[in-house]
Amino acid sequence: MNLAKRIFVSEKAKNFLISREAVTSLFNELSNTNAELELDFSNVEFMSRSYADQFHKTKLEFEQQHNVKIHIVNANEEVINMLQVVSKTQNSNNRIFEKIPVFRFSKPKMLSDYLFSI
Amino acid sequence: MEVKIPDRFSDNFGEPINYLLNFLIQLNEENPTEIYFDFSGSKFISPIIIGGIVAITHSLKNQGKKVEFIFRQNTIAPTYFNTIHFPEGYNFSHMSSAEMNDKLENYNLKTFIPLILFPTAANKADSSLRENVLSAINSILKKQLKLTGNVIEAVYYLVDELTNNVSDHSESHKGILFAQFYPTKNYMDICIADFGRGIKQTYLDSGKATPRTHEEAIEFAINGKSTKNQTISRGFGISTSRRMLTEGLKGKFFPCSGNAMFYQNSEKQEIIALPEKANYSGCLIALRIPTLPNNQFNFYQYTQ
Repeated sequence: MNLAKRIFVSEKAKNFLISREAVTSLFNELSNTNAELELDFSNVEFMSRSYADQFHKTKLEFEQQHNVKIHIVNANEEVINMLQVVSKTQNSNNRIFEKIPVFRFSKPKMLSDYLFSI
Repeated sequence: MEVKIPDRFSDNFGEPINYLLNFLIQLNEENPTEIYFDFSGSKFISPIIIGGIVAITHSLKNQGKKVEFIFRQNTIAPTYFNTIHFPEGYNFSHMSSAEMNDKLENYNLKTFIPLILFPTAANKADSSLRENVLSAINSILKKQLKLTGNVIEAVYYLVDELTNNVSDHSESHKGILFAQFYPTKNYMDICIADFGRGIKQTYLDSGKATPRTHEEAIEFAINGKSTKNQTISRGFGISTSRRMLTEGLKGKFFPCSGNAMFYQNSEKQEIIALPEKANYSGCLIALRIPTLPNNQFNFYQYTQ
């Protein structure tokens, strides 16, 4: 029986997972394995959108290239939700471009008055 | 050129922005080789002024100009500056994540973070240092604000997305982060700035868009128009952050680059084309984040 190898992400990185580069470092350390993997997110307090986006992409590539399955273990609700958010926005390009009104002031006092009003 | 910093700033969000813009106009008109910031009467200095002056100082020094700070008989401002590590920022070099957390523990009981000049390069060493620094700052913010759940997640998200933008796009040698929490007023002001190429030049250099003006460039950024090749899953930073802060948390969002600024609160959003002489080549973002617990706020509603 091929037992899954468990990696504790918060030991490899920090409790706050922030950068895309941290994902690359994590997967570089996994690159020699062909065993099934469990990435354990115990103690991870926050996963940034950038980290989650890069993690989503890199995990899929890694699984295809190495023909292994990576399981996400012990992720808290916030981490799970952030991974769900990025998985939903990988292929959707339905962002609406909002035209935003532009104003200008020819008198310095009017600009100052505006700034004091915000 | 001597620049008098006011004795104090009120809690009006736009007052320090007005001050910085007027200073930029004067600076660009006079184009001096030596600039002296006079803090001799300063008792309370807005975090937006601190972040702005640090960004402008670095930009001026990069142009070979001399910048000095004057205090005269004032003992309050130098003590405060010493505590926040103004203007060079907290020296994190050669510190592990654990050492950083230990050294910064004193800030858990204060209402401000140390001035941070985070590295921006994409190499492994800089990325790792940036991650350690921001993790340490997140820990301080959590302890100072005493918030849990969705609101503290939003604070982490805003700091992360907006500092990431500096690293990803500005080509600034360092990014600037400073924050002040006002417990009796229930809000926190954050300033994130750089002394890089600005939003318009970032788009032009990317070849992905050709904004004709700074206000058009800021409109692209506000709408999440990406400068990256993987356009579909990128470019969420500013667009999600501003909605989360203003619609979700009822805060205020102000980015400024070149001679254009954007302002959004829960009621309105607008771009202001500033006078040409108010130009700043980098980017400065000011946030006002309400810090009361908010059960109505759903963090994930604003992340996509």
